[in-house]
Amino acid sequence: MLQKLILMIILSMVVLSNLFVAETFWAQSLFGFILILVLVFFISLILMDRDQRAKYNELKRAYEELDKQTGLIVRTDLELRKAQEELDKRIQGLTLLHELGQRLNRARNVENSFSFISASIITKLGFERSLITLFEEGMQRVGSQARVGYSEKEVQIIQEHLRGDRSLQEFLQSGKSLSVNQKDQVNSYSKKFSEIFHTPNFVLVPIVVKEKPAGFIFVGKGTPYDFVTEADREMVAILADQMSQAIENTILNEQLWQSHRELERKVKEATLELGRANEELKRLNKAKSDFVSNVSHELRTPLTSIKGYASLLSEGKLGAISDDQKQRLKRINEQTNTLTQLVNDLLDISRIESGRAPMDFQPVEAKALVEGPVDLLQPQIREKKITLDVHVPEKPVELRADREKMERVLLNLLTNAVKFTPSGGHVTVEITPQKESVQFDIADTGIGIETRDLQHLFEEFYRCDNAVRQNIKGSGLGLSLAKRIINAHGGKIWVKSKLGEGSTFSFSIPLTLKSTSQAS
Amino acid sequence: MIWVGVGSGRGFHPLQLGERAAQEAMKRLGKKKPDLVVLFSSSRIDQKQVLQGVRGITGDAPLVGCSGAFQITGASMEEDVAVVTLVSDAFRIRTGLGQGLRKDPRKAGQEAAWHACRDLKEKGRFFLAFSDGLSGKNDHAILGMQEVLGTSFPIVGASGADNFHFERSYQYYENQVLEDAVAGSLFFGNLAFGIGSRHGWLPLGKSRRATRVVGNILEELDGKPAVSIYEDYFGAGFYHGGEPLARHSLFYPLGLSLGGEEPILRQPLWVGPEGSLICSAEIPKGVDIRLMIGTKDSLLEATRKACEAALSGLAGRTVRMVFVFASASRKKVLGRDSAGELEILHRHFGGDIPIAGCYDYGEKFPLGGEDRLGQSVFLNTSLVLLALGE
Repeated sequence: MLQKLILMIILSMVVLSNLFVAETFWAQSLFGFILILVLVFFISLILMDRDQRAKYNELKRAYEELDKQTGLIVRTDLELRKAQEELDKRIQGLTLLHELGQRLNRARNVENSFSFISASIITKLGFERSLITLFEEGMQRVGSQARVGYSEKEVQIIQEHLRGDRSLQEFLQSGKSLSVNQKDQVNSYSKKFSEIFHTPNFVLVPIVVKEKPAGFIFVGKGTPYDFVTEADREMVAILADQMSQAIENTILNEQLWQSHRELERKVKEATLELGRANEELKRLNKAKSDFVSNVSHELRTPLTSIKGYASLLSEGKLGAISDDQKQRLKRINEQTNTLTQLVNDLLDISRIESGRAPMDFQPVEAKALVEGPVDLLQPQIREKKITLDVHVPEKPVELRADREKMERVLLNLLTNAVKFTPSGGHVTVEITPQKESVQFDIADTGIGIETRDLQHLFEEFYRCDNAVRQNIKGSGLGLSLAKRIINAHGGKIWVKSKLGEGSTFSFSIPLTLKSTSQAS
Repeated sequence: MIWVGVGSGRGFHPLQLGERAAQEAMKRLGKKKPDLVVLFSSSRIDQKQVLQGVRGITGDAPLVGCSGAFQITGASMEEDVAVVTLVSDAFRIRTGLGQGLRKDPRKAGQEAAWHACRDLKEKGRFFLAFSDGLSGKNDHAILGMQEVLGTSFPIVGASGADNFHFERSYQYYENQVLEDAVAGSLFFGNLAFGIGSRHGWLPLGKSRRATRVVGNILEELDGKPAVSIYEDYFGAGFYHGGEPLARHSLFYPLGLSLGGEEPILRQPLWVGPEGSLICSAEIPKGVDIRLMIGTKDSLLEATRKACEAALSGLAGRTVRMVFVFASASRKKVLGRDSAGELEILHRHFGGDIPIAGCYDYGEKFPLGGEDRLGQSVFLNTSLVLLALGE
């Protein structure tokens, strides 16, 4: 601007000096005109420069204005960033607490719960130091402990401080959580705990179990410039709640476990007792079988002699006998036969029981098993005018069985059917092939069996009331023996009956031999 | 042929962490002895024990590395320890160490490079260097390396970090845990590699001129105390006395207009006397400086561009592994979205390519532009990718 002014003055002076020295009018007019032009030019230039300067200043102001707005952008960005960090921290914290909560729920004991509080969880929650402590004996003794960012020695020093100071006890009993930043320490606890834990910015939360302080969670930041926030305090409070819940759960689990152990112990004892009783029963049963076997053997010899002598006497080989005597001897012979049958049945039962009567399994046609017993019972059937129907399948059914013993079963069942069927009654034998077995049904129209007797029918020496009342003879061993023989064949035997309407005894035998099992 | 193994782990049992990560990395090599082991570890776990754990498994194989704010692998960007094992029948590796970085950075750089290349008959391909990220002298260390290896020799690597405390960073060399050092490994032989780097930070506000500078101490900007650049925008008292300024400048570094595609970034670490800024590396006097700001999108876009640049350097060769040296500031800005960075890496290099590296306090990268004649420089708040291929 100044330069332009000086230049204008110099040029004007030059033109003016020329104007003064000009001799002619035309020359004077020309220089005058030039002078005017110079003045106009420079005045325009000065005016334009002022305008540009104003514009420049305006632009500069706008630039500064924009720069100030940059400050606004930066501060907004900073706030957003802090909010984002806080949000990230909360999300991560809540995710971690959720995972931790799930693990704590599965904790078996307090030590186990503590093992889940790992350093990585503490650091992911945004802290670099942590001391989690559970007391025993009402805050008198430190029980479980987890530390992060503290050495063992540092923890010992902290504990010594805490022991000699009642502030922690008072604080824990208040049940409140404490969040402290060094820059704004507000109460006596803040300063004291900051010194004891050697951490400027921290959160301290009591662990309360059954409404009593049981320990605490302390977490702190690594530097004085990392501040704890309300979100931090909330997260640690949630963690403390989870710990409290986990500890209560583990206490309950412990109690439950103790109860289980007690129950298990009792069950074990009872099982041992039952085992011992079972062994005793087995021993007694064997003794019984041995006794029955021995007695039966011992009885058979004198019975054979009695029968022999009775026959000799009856046939008059030892001298003439009267009709009355003959009658009595006939009774002796009949009773001896019954007794021999009884003894034989007992012997067979004890042999089967003790495994001394092995089955002689051979292929046999089912129909053939029925023929023998049916023939044998023809005299009684005829005598009582009973109708006997035998239904056999068209195709022969072959099974593996001990023929002699199976005939005995069928003879037993048929004898019973004939015995308990009144004159003119009906007995049916039916053989039905099944998929993997063959079923025999012996049905009669006899007196039937009372329901209460049905479940005991296959027990040794069991006699139904109505049979006894009607003086029908029987040893009470036939069905028991039949059951044992069927069992030895891997089959099963059962009965259906209604009082006054007759009975159906059924048994099934597998077509192919299986290992023997208990009959139902 | 290149065989690469990467192992990693998280936790607070340093010996076990080192052992397990090394075991995992060794497993991928079969029974081969590694030509090089690279260790990245968090500074908050016992450094000696973690190294002992690794050496217990890798034996006396050459080892270099540095501490990181977080360690990076193909599985996670938040590991505590990451171990890389490398074997090749095509290229060879030699290591070197330089110490006393803060006192004489140029000499430390020279020593590291010299130990690695002395008596070497063939020309090296690149120098993978790890140094103290808090020394403020990394640019001089790079100059020292260049004096030995050549001005345009590619130097790539990371400067160690701690857990955002800005107190200590560690370097690993064979059986030693060091501070104030440079540990490097020189790769030579038949080897394809591609290097890419971008930062994604954007300039904000008016430009200021560095009117007074002493080395890495920026004393005045436009004739005012340098800290004014932050105070003007954030307000006075935005940081607490004694607090490292780096905690804030992580998000808002300074951008130096040096003529490249992107401004070179410098991170002020501390506020010095009379409002000066103590930076992570030297600031040229008279340079125009602006405050920089980064968004998640701009940073992830930079990741994409760095991947493309590294792949372009490989010129279609098969990628075998990728080293990632990412500024710790990226982790801070990206927050939970840092997994997005890993996704981009997988998308560009392949889902099963071994990836390893760390979040650091500075990167070394050979600028490709003509302005710098391919010279390697020290970068801040950037992402550097080194892709090895064959």
